[in-house]
Amino acid sequence: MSELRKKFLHRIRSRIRLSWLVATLQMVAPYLGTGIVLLFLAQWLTPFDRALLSSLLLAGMTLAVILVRAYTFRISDWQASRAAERGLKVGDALTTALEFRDSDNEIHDEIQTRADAIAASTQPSKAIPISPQPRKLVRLGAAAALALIIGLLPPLGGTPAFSSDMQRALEKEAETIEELAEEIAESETEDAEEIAEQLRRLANEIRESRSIEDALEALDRTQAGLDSRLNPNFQQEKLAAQGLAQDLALRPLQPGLTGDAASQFEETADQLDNLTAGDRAALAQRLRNLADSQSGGNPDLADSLRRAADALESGDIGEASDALDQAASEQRSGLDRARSQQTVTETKGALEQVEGRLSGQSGEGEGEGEGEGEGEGEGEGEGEGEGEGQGNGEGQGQGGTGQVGGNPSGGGGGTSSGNPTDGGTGNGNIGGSATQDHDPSEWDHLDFYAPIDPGLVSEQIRVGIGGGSGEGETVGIGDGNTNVGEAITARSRMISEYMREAQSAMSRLRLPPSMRGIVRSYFDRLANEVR
Amino acid sequence: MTLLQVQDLDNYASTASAIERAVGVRIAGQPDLIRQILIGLLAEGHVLLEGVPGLGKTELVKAFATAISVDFARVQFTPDLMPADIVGTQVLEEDDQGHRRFQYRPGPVFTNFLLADEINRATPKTQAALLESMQERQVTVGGVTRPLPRPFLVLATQNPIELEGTYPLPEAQLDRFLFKVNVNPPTAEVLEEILRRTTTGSAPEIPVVANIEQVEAMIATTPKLPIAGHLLRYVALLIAATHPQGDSASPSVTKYVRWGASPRGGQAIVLAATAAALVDGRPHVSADDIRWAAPAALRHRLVLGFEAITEGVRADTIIEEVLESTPEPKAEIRGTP
Repeated sequence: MSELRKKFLHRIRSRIRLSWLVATLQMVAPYLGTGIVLLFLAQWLTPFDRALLSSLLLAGMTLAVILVRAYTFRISDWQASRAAERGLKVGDALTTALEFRDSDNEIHDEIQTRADAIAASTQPSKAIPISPQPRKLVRLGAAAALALIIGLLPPLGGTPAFSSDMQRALEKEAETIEELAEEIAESETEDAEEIAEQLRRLANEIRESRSIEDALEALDRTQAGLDSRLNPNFQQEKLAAQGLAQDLALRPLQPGLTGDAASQFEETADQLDNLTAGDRAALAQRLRNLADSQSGGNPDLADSLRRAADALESGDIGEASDALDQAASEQRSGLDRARSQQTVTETKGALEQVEGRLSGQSGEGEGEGEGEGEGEGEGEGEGEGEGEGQGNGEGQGQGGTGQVGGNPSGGGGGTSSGNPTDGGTGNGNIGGSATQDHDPSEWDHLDFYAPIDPGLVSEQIRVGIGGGSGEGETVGIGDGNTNVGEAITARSRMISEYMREAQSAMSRLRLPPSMRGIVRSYFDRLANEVR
Repeated sequence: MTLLQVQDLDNYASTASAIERAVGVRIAGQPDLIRQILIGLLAEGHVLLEGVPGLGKTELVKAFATAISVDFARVQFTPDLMPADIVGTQVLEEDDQGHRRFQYRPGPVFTNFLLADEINRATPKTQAALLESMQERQVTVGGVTRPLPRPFLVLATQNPIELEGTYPLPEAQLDRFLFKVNVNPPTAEVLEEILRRTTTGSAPEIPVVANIEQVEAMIATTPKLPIAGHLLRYVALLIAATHPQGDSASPSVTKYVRWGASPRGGQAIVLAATAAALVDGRPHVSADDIRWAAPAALRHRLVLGFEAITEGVRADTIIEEVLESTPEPKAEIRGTP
C-alpha cells in the first residue's frame, strides 16, 4: 500500500472515531434523557433527592465511557477503506485495492493507481460525513425540559421532597435535643428526669420525621407539654427565692453566718437559746420583714417566718426553732421549684431556637417582622443615685430580632422580635425596675454593672438587627436624667440573667466543648464572686 | 496467455458504449434492456425475454447483430418443431459418382445470435435440444460433435399471456439462461418515438461499430476482472437469502418461495457483474454491479409456491426484499456509511 493511501486511511480512521463518537452520543441521547427523567421522577415521587447530581454523574460517566471507547477501538484497513469508499461512492475501489496488489499484473496496478487517486483527491470529511440526527437531539432536549419541569414541580401529593440536607439538619437538631436532655438529666432539679425523657422522645420523633412540618409539630407538642409544667407565678417565686438568698447573703440573719438562706434559718434556730432579748426582738423584726418580701412568691415560707417571729416575740423558743427549720425547708423547696421552672423555661427557649432553625429550613425567610417596645422605669438611688427614665424602642425588620434598651437612672428595656416565618409579627416587652435600696456601707464590697450605656437625653441609640435577611434597624430613645454613674445595677441582680443568656447562646451557637467549658467556668467564677 | 492491458479497458468501455448507442438507434427507450443483452453477450450467457408480442424483440436482436456485424437467425417455436429443425440433421445425398452418403445439414443454431421466438410453444424435447446447445455450445448429430460459432447468444422469448397449449420451461432449463429480462410496454413518449421511426419510411440505419474479434476479446476479458472477496461473500449471502430453509430467509421468502436460487444463479450474478464492470471501463467489480445484476439473474431461478401465485406475488418483489434484507458488506462501525 502506498504511503499516500496509508496516510489517507489514518485520517479516515480519525474521522471514523469522531463519527462513531457523534453517532453513539446521538444514539445514547434519548436513553440518557429517559434516565434523567426517571431520576427526577424518582426525586419527585420518593425521598431520593440527588436527581441533579445523579443526572450530571450519569451524563459525565456516559460521555467518559464513550470517549474512551471512541479512541481505543481497533479499525482495520478494510474497515477504513470500506467506510471511505461507501461514503465517496467510488464502488469498491479501495477494498479491492487492498486485495489485489500483484505488481506484475497491470490490472492490479491500475486498481492501485485508481485507489491512490481517490486518496489524493478526497477529504476525509467527505468520505465520512458526520450526520447530526436532530430528532434524537430533540428527544434529549425534550427529556431535559421534562426533567426540569418535574424538578420544579412541588412534591406529589403535597409531601415535601425530603432532602438529605434536611434530614441532616433534623438529625443535628435531634442530637442537640438529646444533648440537652442529658444535661437536664444530670441536673438534680425536680422533674428533671421526666423532662429529659420527654426531650429524648422528641429527638426520636424529629429524627424519624418525614418532613420539616412533622418535626415542627412534634416540637409544638413537646412545647405544649412544657407549658403545662410552667407555674404562672414562676417569676414571682423565683424572684422571691433569689431575693431572699441575696438579701441574706448581704445581711446574714446572725453575724458570722455565711451559708445560704436555709442554712442560716437552721443555724439561727440552733442559736436561739444564746440570743439576748434584744437580739430576739431584732431577729423577729427581721423575720417579719423577710416574711413580707416572701408573701407573694412563697407564701408558705412567709407563714413559717411570721410564725417564727411571733414565737420569738412570745418567747417560745421551741416554736420559733421549729418555725425556722420549717422556713429552711420551705426555702429549699422554693429554690428547687425555681430551678425546676428555670429548667423548663430554658428548655423551652432551646426548643424555640430549634424551631426557629427548622422553620428557616422549610421557609424562604421572606417574613417581615415589626415590633415595638417601650420601657419605662423609675427608681431612686439612696445615697448617690436618683433619677427617672424612659426607654422606647421600635423595631422593624425582616426576619430579625432587635433589642433596644434605654436604661436611664432607673432602668428600661424594650425588645422587639420578628419571626422569619410568621409573616411579620412583633411583640414588645416592657421592662422597668427601680433601683433598690443599698446600704452605703456596702458599696465598697460590691461590683456594679451598668447594662447599657445610659446615653444622653433624647439621644438615639441605633442597634443593628442581626439574623435577618432584610434591612432594618431599631431605634431606641433614651429620655431622662442620665448622669453616668447614678444609675447602676448590682451585678448580683443580673448574673442569673446573663448566665441564662450564655446558656442559650451556647445551645444556639454550637460551640465546641472546650469553648463551652471556658464560658461555664467564667460564669461559675463570677457567681462565686457574687455569692 | 496475454495480460490484460489497461488501455484495453478504455477501449472495451467505448466499444460497449458504441454498441449500446448503435442498437439504441433502432430500439427506442429501452436502455436497460440493451445493456442487459450486451451483458449477457459478454458474460457468455443467454437471455430469456418475456413480454407481449410486438415490443420489438426481434428487431432488438437484429439490431445487435447488425451493430457488431455477426450472423443472426430466428426460429419461431411451434408445437410441431422438431429438434432437428434446430440443431440440423443428416440427409442422404448422392454424389456425382452415384455414391450415397449421409450429409449433415446444420440447423439454425449455427449462428451467432439466435432468436428463439416463443420458446415455450415447442415441445420439451425440442426445447431440450436447444438448451443443450446453449449449455455445451456445441451440437452432436450422428455421433459427430460440432462446435457452435463464437460468440453464441440465444435470445429466447416467451409470451406471458396465451399460455394455452404451451410447454413452460422446466426449472432446470430455465437455469441455463443467464438473465430473464422483462420487456415492458413502452411509455407514451417512447411509443411516439417508435412510431416516428417505424412508420415514416425513414428508419435510421444501424451503424456497424464493432466486429467479432473485438467482441471475442471483451468476452475473454470479462472473467479476468477481479472481484473482491467481500463481494463474493455478498453474492453468496444473496443466494442463501433466497432459500426458504435458510437462516437468513426473510418472511416473504419463507412464505412464497419453494426453492431458492441455485449456485448457478450466483455464478450468473458474478459473471454479469464482472461484465457490467467491463462495460463501465472499471478494472474491478463493485457491489452496485451485483445489485444491478441480481434481479435479472435470479427472477427465473426462484420457484414460487402456490401462495405467491394466489396472492399475485412476483419474483421481482421477493428479490427486491432479499436485496433490502441483505445489505452489502459494510465497515460495521457506527456512524460510518
